[in-house]
Amino acid sequence: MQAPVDAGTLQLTSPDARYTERLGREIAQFIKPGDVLPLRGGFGGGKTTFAQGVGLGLGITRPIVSPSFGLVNSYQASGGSHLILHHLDLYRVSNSEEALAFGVEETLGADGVALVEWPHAIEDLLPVDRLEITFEYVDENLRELTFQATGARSARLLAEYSSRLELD
Amino acid sequence: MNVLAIETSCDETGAAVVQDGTRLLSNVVASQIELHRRYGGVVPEVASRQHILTILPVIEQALHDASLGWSEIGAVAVARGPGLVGALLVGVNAAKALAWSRGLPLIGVNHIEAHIYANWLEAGPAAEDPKFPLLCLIVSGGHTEIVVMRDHGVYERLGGTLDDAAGEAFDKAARILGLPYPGGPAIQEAARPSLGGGNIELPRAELRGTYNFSFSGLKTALLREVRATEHPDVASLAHAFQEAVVDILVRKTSAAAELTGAAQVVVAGGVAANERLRDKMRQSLGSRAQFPRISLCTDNAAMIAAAGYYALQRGKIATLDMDVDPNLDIAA
Repeated sequence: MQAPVDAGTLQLTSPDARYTERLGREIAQFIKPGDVLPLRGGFGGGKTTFAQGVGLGLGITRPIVSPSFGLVNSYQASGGSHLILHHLDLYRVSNSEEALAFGVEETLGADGVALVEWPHAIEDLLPVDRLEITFEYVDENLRELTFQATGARSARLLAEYSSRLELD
Repeated sequence: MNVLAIETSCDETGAAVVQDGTRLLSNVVASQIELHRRYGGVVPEVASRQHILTILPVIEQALHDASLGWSEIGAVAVARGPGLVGALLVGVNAAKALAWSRGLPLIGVNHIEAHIYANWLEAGPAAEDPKFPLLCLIVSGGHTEIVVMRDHGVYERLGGTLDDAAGEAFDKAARILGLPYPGGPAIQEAARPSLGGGNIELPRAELRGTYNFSFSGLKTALLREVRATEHPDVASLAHAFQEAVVDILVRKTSAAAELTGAAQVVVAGGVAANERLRDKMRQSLGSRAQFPRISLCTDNAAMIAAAGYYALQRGKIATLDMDVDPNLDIAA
């Protein structure tokens, strides 16, 4: 596994699930085909809520449901963008060989944006340049989100996203 | 008419022969046979590879158990979705090859629809077919759907989960409580000492005015309870979790049964094996509530054969270019 380069970090505290969803909705304005966003952290951190926000932000009308069963759910964004949102949950996958067997490489890069929950099994397949997001359960309501860019593209994404959040 | 069916949508390799959509002649699931004896080693973990290794012996076993030869098979049915794409492909390609080489009609079956059809597989000589309109709750590791079935092949989806499937919620709760996989049976066992009692109450996502479910908040609430104490009371927490899931499933299903004037209500899928769900559903719906036998709740090919038989009656014969669809909808 290649250690991620720190090309910018943003730390946010979310007061509730609604805000976590909004954080997802806002980032949807800036993500582009090829972006990969690993969503790290255990249960109850808000990974799914954030992913649902991204779906809303992209104008996806189908509910963003858990991808655990099929490992990946793919959604076509509405409007002019031909972007496809791939939402992965690799908890049940034990190594990258298994992930390649179900076609994980087709969801990373190209015309899609990948949100990858439980990415531990495919660390070696993740692109060097990606936006790492870590979700931490603080208490009943509070969650801490850490965004870390690991290359030029993710650094730009993070910069655009931060300035958007600062406007509010 | 004997239908041979194949099921490979997730991690079970199944083959079965069913007569006239109701009479079970054989039902083989790969995890039940001693594969290592045939292969002299451990079967690979990868689901699709496991399917490739096991599919032919499983089909042969199904024919053998039914005491039938190929000349007595009238059609080949196969699950074409929803499920894991690589896994589905193994079953669909095997079914195509068999249908083509034996000159038999090929039938593509929706896996969720097939779970409902497990209720057509007679439980005894006196068993009657379910009556329409039939309200169906499909609850498994991958699906949570409320569907009204007005006739064979005629479905209207009333609602479903907005996040985790019910079976998945059990699996995740088991992980939180340090219980083994699969979570459903583990939680049921752990909850037993607290049945009828328990002093912990976990929240239900009501989502009023809809037939939708959400189990994500419940999972987080359970996590909060576990973190709140150094020695969590696993029995009470497992009980509280099971009660919350069962309660919302029963209430939404009962309300949907009223709305649709359902003649009967069937519960299908792996979670239909949960005893508490069976008890509570019967308390609420009385004799209208029906469940498949436990062995037909989890993924199996017999249900594919039953659904395939009725699809064939409606002339639903697939061509050899039939594709798998990992996101196949029940109303499609």
